[in-house]
Amino acid sequence: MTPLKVTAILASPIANKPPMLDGIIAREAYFRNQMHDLIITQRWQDIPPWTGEGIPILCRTCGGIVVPCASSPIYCDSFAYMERMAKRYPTESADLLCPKEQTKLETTAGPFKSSWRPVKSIPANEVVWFVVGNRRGLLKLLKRVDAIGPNRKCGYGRVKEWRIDRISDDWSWVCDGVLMRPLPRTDETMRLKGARPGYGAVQPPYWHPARVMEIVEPCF
Amino acid sequence: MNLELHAISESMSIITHNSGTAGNESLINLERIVTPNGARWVPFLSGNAIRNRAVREPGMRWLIELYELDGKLTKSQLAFLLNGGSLTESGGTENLGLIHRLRRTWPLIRLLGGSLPSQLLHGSLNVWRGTLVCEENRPHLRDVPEARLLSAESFLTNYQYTRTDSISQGTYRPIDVLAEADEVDAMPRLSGFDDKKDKSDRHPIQMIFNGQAVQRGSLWEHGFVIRNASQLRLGALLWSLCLWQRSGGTIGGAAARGHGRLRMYLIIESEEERERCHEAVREYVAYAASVKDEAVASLMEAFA
Repeated sequence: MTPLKVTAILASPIANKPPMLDGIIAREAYFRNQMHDLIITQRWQDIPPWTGEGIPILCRTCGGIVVPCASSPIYCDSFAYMERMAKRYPTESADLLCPKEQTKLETTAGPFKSSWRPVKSIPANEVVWFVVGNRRGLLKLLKRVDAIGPNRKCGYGRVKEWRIDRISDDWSWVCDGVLMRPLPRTDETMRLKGARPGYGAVQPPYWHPARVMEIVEPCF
Repeated sequence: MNLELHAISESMSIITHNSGTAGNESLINLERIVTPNGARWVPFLSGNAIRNRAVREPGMRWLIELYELDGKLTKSQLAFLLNGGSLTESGGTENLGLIHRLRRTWPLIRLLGGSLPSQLLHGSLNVWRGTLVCEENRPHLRDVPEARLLSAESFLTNYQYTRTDSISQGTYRPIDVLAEADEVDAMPRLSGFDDKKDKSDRHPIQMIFNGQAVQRGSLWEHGFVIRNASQLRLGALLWSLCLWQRSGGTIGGAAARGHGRLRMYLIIESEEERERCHEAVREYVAYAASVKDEAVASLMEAFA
């Protein structure tokens, strides 16, 4: 396991914000190795304690919790803008309905509500993560990842190329005293530069409600 | 294994894939591209639109016709098939048998996914955005020539139409004209037209509406990625694209006025690959016909 800089060269904007690298890697590793107990796809599913097994990223303990050595994504947010995603009932195909279903349809509320959903779009050319891990193992898994972030099915966050470079220092948790990723809230982590107290997850899957705890997160 | 298909399309008429309006002017969809000279706004075709217009709608319409579901669908079934449906019932269970049956008998649903009232069905197709072949997009394009491309700005154009009222179309004769001909009393008044309106209606009222567009002849790069691809899913995608092209291949708004026609060319590198694509389509068409009863039954079960 060596300190690495992972770069995703992007070919389309990312929706909302880029994900944590350990989240992507864990998901890919579990699918590839068919570790079905650890594949969580729904919020209501029970989630086992995370030990970091099966992923080519070093994990250390902080405040009694296993945390992967992978920084938060670093990207340029200055050109972010809003796009819209539309959805509406196909009223032009009403002739396909059976006659008794050809009634009035509410499109402002209910199951057939039309939407004009805003999507924050970040036109970053690249996203960088600092990790401590196995370069070959990471490359093998990332080769299968062709898009990152939400709305991938609609072309957001398309990755043109993955680059993994060896670096001399470990900047996955802390770089020059500055916090680089969410960590459990302890007296020690609260003293780090740029640390902001909050609530969230420090282990994948980051979106699961059972992972939410008191954390410190970087304020960049 | 993931399968990546690339395509180039040429616009055969102006493209008006809009993002909104400003007064009477419609605005096209623009994305921000960061270049060494700063951020630039460049037209694009959203993946959402391509996914729906080029894959879901033609593919599902063909299946509806094949399965003789025309005139038999409920509102929820129609929404599920043609726009993906929506999750409306909460529940902590998944009917795995139903998911399996739907995905097995409807390869297009396996490809695109959707939302049943009580559970989500994951799809396996990622559709790229339509990227305009222009200098600003050079880093994002595949196999571009070294020569400088035109900038995105040079592809932008405008269109303008005039909507006229009934006076100028001759369906109503203005009072003044009739008065000159001494026929005022003889001519019956049109219903809904009173004296108060006379002054305003004496002159034809025309509404000018216009908008931005991308010029005819512009090129767009597309891509489709099928995750864990199978022959049937590849066939479903290719057959849907084929049906879309046969029906005019339009994208964006104002298709009724002839806007938004795209001619798509799939980039297939070898003869072997071409044969595989043809074989996939033949296999899909035959499979869809062979599972007709099961497919209809699983759809009815999902919305029972």
